[in-house]
Amino acid sequence: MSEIKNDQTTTTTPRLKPEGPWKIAWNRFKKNKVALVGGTGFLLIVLGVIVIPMIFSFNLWRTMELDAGTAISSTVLDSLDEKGVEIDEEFEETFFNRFDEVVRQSHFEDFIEQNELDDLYTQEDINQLFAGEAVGTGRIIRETIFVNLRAHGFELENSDQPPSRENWLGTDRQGRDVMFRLFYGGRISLIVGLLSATLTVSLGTVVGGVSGYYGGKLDAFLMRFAEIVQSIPLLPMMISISAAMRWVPSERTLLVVVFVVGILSWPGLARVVRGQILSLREQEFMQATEILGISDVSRIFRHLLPNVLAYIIVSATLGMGGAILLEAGLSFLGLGVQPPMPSWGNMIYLANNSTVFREYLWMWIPPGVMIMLTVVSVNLLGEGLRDALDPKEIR
Amino acid sequence: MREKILEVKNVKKYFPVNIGLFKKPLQVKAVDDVSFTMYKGETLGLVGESGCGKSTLGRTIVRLYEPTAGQIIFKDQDISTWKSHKLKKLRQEMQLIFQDPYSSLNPRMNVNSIVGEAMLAHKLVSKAEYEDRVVDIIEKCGLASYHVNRYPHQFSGGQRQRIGVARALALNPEFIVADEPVSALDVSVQSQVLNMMNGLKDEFGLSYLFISHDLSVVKHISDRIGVMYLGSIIELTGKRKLYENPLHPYTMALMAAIPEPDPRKIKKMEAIKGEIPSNINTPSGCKFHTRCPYVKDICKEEVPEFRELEKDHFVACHFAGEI
Repeated sequence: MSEIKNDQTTTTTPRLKPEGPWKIAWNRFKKNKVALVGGTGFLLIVLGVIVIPMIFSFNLWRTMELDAGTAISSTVLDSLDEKGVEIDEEFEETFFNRFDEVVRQSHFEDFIEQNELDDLYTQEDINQLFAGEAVGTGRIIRETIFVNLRAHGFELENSDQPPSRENWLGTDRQGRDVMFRLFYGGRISLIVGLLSATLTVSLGTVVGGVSGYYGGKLDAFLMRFAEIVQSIPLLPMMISISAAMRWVPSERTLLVVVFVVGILSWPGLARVVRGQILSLREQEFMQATEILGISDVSRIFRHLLPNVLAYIIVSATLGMGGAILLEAGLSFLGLGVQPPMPSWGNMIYLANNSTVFREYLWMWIPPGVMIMLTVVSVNLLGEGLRDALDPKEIR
Repeated sequence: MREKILEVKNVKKYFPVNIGLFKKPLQVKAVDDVSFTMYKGETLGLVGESGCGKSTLGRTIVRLYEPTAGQIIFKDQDISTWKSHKLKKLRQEMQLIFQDPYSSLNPRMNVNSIVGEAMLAHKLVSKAEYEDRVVDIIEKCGLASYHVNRYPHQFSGGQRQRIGVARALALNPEFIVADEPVSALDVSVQSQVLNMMNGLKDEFGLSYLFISHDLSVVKHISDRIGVMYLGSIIELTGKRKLYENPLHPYTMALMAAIPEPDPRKIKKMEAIKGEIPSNINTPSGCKFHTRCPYVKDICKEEVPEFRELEKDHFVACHFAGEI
């Protein structure tokens, strides 16, 4: 292009350094009060669930790995073992079954009062072993239980306590601190939300993008497949999958939830992305890229994706809120994250006991409020981002 | 002899129409057997009513579409069957200016990227020179250097079309197809853009294929004008000859349709009647016979030859010169 001479470059107007689109978006985002509130709220929640559990004592952390029943039964068995009781498999099995049943289903103090423990150990072989000690079997066991549980962070004699100076949000049925579980459970819920939204968004964007860009038979095939997935009723499917995945250890059930939510909720986004790309593909600026000889990669990543980004972001944030809600729903049905690992959903699950629902409000209202705050702030943040990334939006 | 830059020979572009699974597929004959030659440095105007295939022809020539049949010879090379990497080379020599200044610019890219992207993609400039080159080009197109950071929505229609022209010029082409570049603009802005395009033509040594449905615009900018009707060129000649001595009855009707500012002048011909026929079932023989006031039997049966009736005056009518 020899015809262009450089002497024409004007010096009258100072040339500004090109302002990157991200900078512009950030400036626009900063001006949006509502979005800032949402963003700050979400940031605080994330910080909270990371930092607050660290303040609590180490013992509390162990309550996340064990629930009271398992803790009690294994410590009792250990102490019996120490005292030289010969524990055969049959004994162990009946012991666990009984214990689990009793501890899980009834209130622990009632359980002690009912002396069912004494009952259990008045079997002849155990009696003989404890006879020389001149102490009631029941007492030994009771003490063993409390000592060991305290070591594990459970304070059963301290259960169902309303908010106090020691426990700001009170304690739950097994004497665990609700505030600790709230924030620790927040980690689980946020991780579930984040991971399943990521899975949904990546699957949806890739399938929708490929479908819209290449079109033809591939498009028809992918869209029919998406319809099939979409026609699967979510709840029965979740229930079946969760039931089938019972073998997964409880600390990994959250991955099952992520997987199920992600796998079943991508078609919505895929259809939106496909529709957007179909309409964008017919826009003259896409024909212009062809005429200009721009490469396919550049056409997809510089021209198409930025134009569907707004939809993807909104869908990702809504998806994240939705996934948190879905996890809560599943956990409430007892199909999501399994106790002892807390999540907001299975904390609310406590409210299906009418006593808890009526009298122990501190156990289930805080997780409910947290879910609400998180979903609202994430949605506000998403909307703010969409507006900020849209150059047509001028404020 | 003038130097040929483009020769279009019997080019056809048919689009399939899906009407149902078990029905015989139909075809829209958007461009049906078009031939003409363009010379270096000239502006060839292409006029015709909506749906006559002028845009399709333009886009087939720049190879946005693959022609169904025929040859497109650009600078002595048949480009009609070229594929990807050869086409990419062609892009540097042939460009297209789009009709719609709104949808033809990516709303998420600033002027700097819109104009400069292709230069980088074709490795015409180094990253260091790039910004200066973009500024050079947009200034030649009547924009200011501080516009580089702006986004399309911050411009008026006329300015957007200038960006579109700058984008086409960025690759330094020799031949530009302008697909109704001013029809979306206000009349006052139209003339500015047209004059700018004329200036750029001389400065860069361009040749334009200028598509429009506006007779006065085409008259202003073109050296020669082709008139299209239902996918075919029916008359092609220098603009003065066309406006003063049209030979085809359709052209005559078009000329008669131009509003006459002088009320004392009496119109020679009635405006054309009827609708343009479907280009799926095109009429037999001369395509214009359904609306032609001079129709004879032969018109319904035989396709008139596109012949050079006078020097440089091509026309496709059995009775050209006799009417």
